Amino acid sequence: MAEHNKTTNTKEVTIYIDNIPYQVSTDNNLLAGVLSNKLNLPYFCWHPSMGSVGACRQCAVTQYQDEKDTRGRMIMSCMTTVVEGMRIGLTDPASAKFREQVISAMMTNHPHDCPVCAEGGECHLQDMTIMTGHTSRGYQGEKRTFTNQYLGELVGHEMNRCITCYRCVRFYKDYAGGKDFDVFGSRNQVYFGRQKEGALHSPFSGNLVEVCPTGVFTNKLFSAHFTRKWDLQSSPSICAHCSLGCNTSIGERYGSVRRVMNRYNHDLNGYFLCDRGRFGLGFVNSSKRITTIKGINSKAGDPLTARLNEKSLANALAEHKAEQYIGIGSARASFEANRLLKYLVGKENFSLGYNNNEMQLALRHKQLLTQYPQQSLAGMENVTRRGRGKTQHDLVFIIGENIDQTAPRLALTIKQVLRNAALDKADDIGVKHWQDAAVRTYAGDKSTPLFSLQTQQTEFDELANSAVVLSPARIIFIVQCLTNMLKVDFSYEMVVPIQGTTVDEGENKHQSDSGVKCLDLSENETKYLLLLASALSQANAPLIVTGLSLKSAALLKAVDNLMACLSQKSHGIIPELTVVAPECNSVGNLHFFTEHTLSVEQILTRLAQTPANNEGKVSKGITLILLEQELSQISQAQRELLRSQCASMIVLDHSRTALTQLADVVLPSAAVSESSGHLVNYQGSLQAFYPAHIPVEPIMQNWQYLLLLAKYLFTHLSINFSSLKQLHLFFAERGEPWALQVMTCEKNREKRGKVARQTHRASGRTAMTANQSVHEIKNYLEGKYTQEEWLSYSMEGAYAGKGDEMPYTWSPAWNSNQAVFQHQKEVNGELQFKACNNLLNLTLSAFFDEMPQESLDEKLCELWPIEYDENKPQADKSLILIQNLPWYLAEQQAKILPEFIMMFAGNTVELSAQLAECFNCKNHDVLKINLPQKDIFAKTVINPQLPDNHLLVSVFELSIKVNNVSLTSEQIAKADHDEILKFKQIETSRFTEASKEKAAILARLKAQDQNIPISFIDRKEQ
Amino acid sequence: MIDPNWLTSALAQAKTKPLTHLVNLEQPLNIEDYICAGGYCGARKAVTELTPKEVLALVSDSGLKGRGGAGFPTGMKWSCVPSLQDKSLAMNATGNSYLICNGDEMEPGTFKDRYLLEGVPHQLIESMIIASYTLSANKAFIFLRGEYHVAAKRLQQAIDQAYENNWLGERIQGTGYRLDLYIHTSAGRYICGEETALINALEGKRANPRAKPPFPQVSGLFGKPTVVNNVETLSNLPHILKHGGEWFKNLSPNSDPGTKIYAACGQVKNPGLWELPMGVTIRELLYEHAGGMKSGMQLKGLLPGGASTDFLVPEHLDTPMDFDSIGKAGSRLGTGGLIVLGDKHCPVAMVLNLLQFFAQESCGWCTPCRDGTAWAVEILTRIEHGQGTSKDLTQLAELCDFMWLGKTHCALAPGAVEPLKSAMRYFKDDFEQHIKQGCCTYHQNNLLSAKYISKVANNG
Repeated sequence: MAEHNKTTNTKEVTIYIDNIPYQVSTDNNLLAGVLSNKLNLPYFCWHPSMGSVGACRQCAVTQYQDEKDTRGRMIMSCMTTVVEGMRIGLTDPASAKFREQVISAMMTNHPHDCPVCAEGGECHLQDMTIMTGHTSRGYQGEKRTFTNQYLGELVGHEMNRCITCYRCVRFYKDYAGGKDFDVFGSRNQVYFGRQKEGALHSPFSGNLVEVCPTGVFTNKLFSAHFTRKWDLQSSPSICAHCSLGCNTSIGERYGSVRRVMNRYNHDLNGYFLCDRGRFGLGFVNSSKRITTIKGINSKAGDPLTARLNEKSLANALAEHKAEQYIGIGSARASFEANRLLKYLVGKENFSLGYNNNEMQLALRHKQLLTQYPQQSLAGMENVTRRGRGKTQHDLVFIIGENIDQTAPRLALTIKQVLRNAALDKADDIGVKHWQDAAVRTYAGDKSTPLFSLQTQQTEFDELANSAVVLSPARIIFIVQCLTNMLKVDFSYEMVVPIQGTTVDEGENKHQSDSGVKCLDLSENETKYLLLLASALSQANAPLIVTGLSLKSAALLKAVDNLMACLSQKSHGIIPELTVVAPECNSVGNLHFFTEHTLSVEQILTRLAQTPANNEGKVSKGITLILLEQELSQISQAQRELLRSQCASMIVLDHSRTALTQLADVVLPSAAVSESSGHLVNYQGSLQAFYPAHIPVEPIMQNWQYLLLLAKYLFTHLSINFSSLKQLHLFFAERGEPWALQVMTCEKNREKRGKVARQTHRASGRTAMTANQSVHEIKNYLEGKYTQEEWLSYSMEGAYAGKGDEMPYTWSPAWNSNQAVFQHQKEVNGELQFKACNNLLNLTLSAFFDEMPQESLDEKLCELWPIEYDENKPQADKSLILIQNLPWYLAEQQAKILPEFIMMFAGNTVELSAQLAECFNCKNHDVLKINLPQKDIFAKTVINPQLPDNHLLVSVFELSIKVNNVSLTSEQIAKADHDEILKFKQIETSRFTEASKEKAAILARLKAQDQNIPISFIDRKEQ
Repeated sequence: MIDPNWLTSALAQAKTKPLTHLVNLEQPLNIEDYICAGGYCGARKAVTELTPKEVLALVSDSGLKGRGGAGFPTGMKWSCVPSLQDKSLAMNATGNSYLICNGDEMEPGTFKDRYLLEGVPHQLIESMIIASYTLSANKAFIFLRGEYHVAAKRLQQAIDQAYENNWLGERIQGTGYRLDLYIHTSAGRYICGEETALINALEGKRANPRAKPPFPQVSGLFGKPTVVNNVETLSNLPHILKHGGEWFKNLSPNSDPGTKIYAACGQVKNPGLWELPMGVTIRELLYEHAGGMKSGMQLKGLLPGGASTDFLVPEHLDTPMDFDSIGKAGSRLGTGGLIVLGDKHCPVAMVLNLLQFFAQESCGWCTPCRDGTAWAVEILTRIEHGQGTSKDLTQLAELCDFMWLGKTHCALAPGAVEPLKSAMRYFKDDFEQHIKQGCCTYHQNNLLSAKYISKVANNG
């Protein structure tokens, strides 16, 4: 079998297309080879990432035996293996005619509703129709009609447009593992949808919009207020809804963000996004956005005139001048903004907004990242393998991180990793990996071993060889046991704790019940460990996935030990570790993490020691500056304490939070769609994002506001720059490598000249702002915003494909996102202009690095003491609260989107039957949980698989940052009559409010189209 | 009890009508009687005396060709199974392959398999033992047309008897060979007759044909090596084993070897089926066995082997009914069941009826078939209803080209094209008259479904 596995070596061969020689790779099919040479060949059912099935017959070409053969025979290029010297015809009349006939056959049923279709102008079917030369309809009969389904708030359904290419079901069911979508019927009545109307369950349903070659599946948020692709102003951006940093393209018109599309990144998200990323950005249009400056002379920020009065801002800020400042950054603000804030306040006065526990967690996280380079998603999926034959993962072990919720796009990647075993098996009979149907037929049920060790049931459980649901402490213990077993070369018989369990289980069980000792293993756990250890012993390249959502430093430490053990050469294993970070810039903030970094507790202590009313003057105290930070993990009382003890509180944020209500000054910062900077993803990759449009003042980018603060509060620093580029230069001059990297990268971009955010065919470019001035926007904005950017806010400049970060995907004749192959080196390959891969150099400060492991624990607890330690046995009857919000609510910013709120079925708390009995509650009873943060209410759901000390809560009102906290049973009670009534009212109003908000946003944006609010007028003119 | 007289007369035909000599539609032979009549000799010979490769050699030498329609040499089909290849891969050892009997007889005008299934079920079981043994398959399936209730019942009885008599199950007849045989009754789609669609249906998936390669012999049922053979093809095996390949070849002088169950239906006096030596002429079949045309009617044309074959016309009457000769005449032997069209019936209506069937039975996978057949129905409906234009004929010709072999995912659409294309060639005048006169020149629309008439009429 060994030889078979090596069939994936890249080989370039020469083939003749219309008698002209071309080089193509034997790794992919003929269609991919033709497209890789940038030749136009229409297709529908083939997808670069999903392979071939040969359904649509659109990519037919003529194959000739030899030079003398003039007739040839028709073949489907997507189903054809490339061989040296093969001769094909692309322009020959026979195949050209057939391709035209395919379109005309599809048109027998496709409606002529292009004017009202949101897909118009970027419809693959339109493109292919033109490409094949189909110009008139011959069919005179009736068209078949279907009933459309309600598929939820996100994806629209218009089945009459279907051309039956089967891509949707192949993506949803085969590729993404969805179960609630299928293909029904036969002949020319094939129906794609759900068995019954209802919201799609898959967190990847939005990809149907891009996968569908025409307008069957549409982005509902976009189509409610659609604009043609050619009229969108787009920018390359980074998704801010988790730590993966998927590349997105944001489309804007008339000052409002219309949609998010996938932006191809070979290493990261490839062709697919998750729905949180695609739809979640809608929060930028929410009524929760802050549009005015709070706490300063109201003249300073007037939303109607859209002016920022710097003079009054300066005067007002003078009021808040203090002796000391503490800056609190955040993991959702850009890397630059955090860097600047830290520089302003100084490293001794900088916090990341973490509490003590999170500080310990951050350290462990940083330790892991410095030791184990993080693979890209493409690296995990081994996309490169269809060419470069790297080893692929042969085991996946997910520890204590529900990636479906915290990093959904990673879950999609893991699903592809699990297909490695099937692809290997297909090699045995020489079935090519792109032969999608054949691989699934031959090896469909073959899955790479998967082990899941979680605090809750996940989507992966049924794919797993073994999956257990345990409390966080048990998870850590299992990882420790596993490490012990591996230390003695998998010979688990020699491991004492396990031996003990199997021998005198009864006694140990008794002990664990009494809560005195729980270091023994249950039968289930033993079975799990044995299975896992034996699978690991057979694996060559296991992939271990963990994360920070359990907030457990001990877990990361245990994983560290496991990795260290696995990596020992004697095992012959090349393990890879993936750590899911909590937020879009969490890893970036690790860069600023040192022993000096303040925890929230330390800030409170400092504030208490420095009374605000010292010498009777407020200004002598400490002023807090919070950068897009809501401190949601602490209680409202703590937040109020913070406010009362500081001299002033200045908050920069884009949407209203508990803190913006308390703050003295609120400065409205721009959201990701309106600002620029870098976000550092889970790998430590610095990725640039650019504004899709300029925000309406007083909304400004966070670093612009920080520069104003520097100008008026931190005068001694004499910061006198005004652009992001100068900011980079400023830090580059101070020897910071990241700034140098970023500058080199930007310089390369600038060398290639300006790239237009708008399409070449943007219509009415001068008319769209005619109510203010008949000019192109660009002229007014040069200087303040765009001078130093390589992207222009107009049609001027090179078209999108010339940028390494493409604002949108387009190429001549290819108006849909399918155009991306024209910009790839080869189909599925890297982009021709590859963006620089700026990896942040993370190093532990000498303080931690040189410390022996044992004293590190001590030192950590000294610096940032935490109340309870998971390593130690829990107090009797202590309960654990685990968060279980669905993927669309498991991130703060996405939680604002009304559509997501409408998808939420209501607060629930899952617990075992035994635990439910303790509180004398049944299914559907309302429980009240008294948390330091707030009282929460939720409906009981009995979940027999949960450990008896587990409370799995899905509560809208509870911040996602509160996780894995211990409770006593006194904190939980059945809600009384009044509380139940109140709970029910909150539940209903949450939905009605959201649907009202959804309608209100749409109405506001539609009105806004008629009254463009963007300030295009140069201040100097007046 | 078996009637000795019947048996004597049946056995007299054992060497000339091997497939049907034991057929008894009233009450098929039970296992004792079947054995008494010489049954299970072939299977016994195979499992006790021969190795799988020897059986394969015997079948290959006999020249047996598939009777399902395509006429592919059975031995060659089998030899592609990894266990029968010289370089056998370890993973494909004994027990890892399947045999499937294709009993999903849905070709219009074809009913030969039903005759064997209902009349002599043990013959099929014996055949499947031989084939499974050769392929080293321990599980075999009979994929049966859903409407064949009687066959299903009789087959199941026969299977039960075979288990009781140690012809199925563990250690068959004291050898080390084990075989389990299952009946699967189809939920009913014509496309299930296509072997890979059949396999998908058997797996519980949509009955869409699979792309080839890989062929089922390499990756078939549940990804395992699988051979799918027609009922009639398999039924030849016991006799080849019993009487040898030479005998089999000599059954049919100057033609493909063996006998064939021919049938005739349509405007003939005496519709039915007859086991005859391969290569009997159409004339003999039509005028001697089927009794000629119904009174007052002349032969206008006929489909030689089911609905998906090209029309032949009176000039072809002396063509021998074997794979090559029919092929040279421009059609296909197919299943060998004639569908005869008389001169009092409208050829356009007949083609429309056939195309409706194919459009209805398209699985919906590939564009030419899914949309092309329906489009052809739309045009033919208008022509038959007198609303056609001369442009329609051009469009129909283009559709024939569009749905032709090599352009579609499987053979269903090309099969639909065959009667359509040939009808447009041989009955061109009829099509043109429909258009010219604005009505059906045969004044009878009894072949046209009421649904389509009203639909077209409503559209004006």
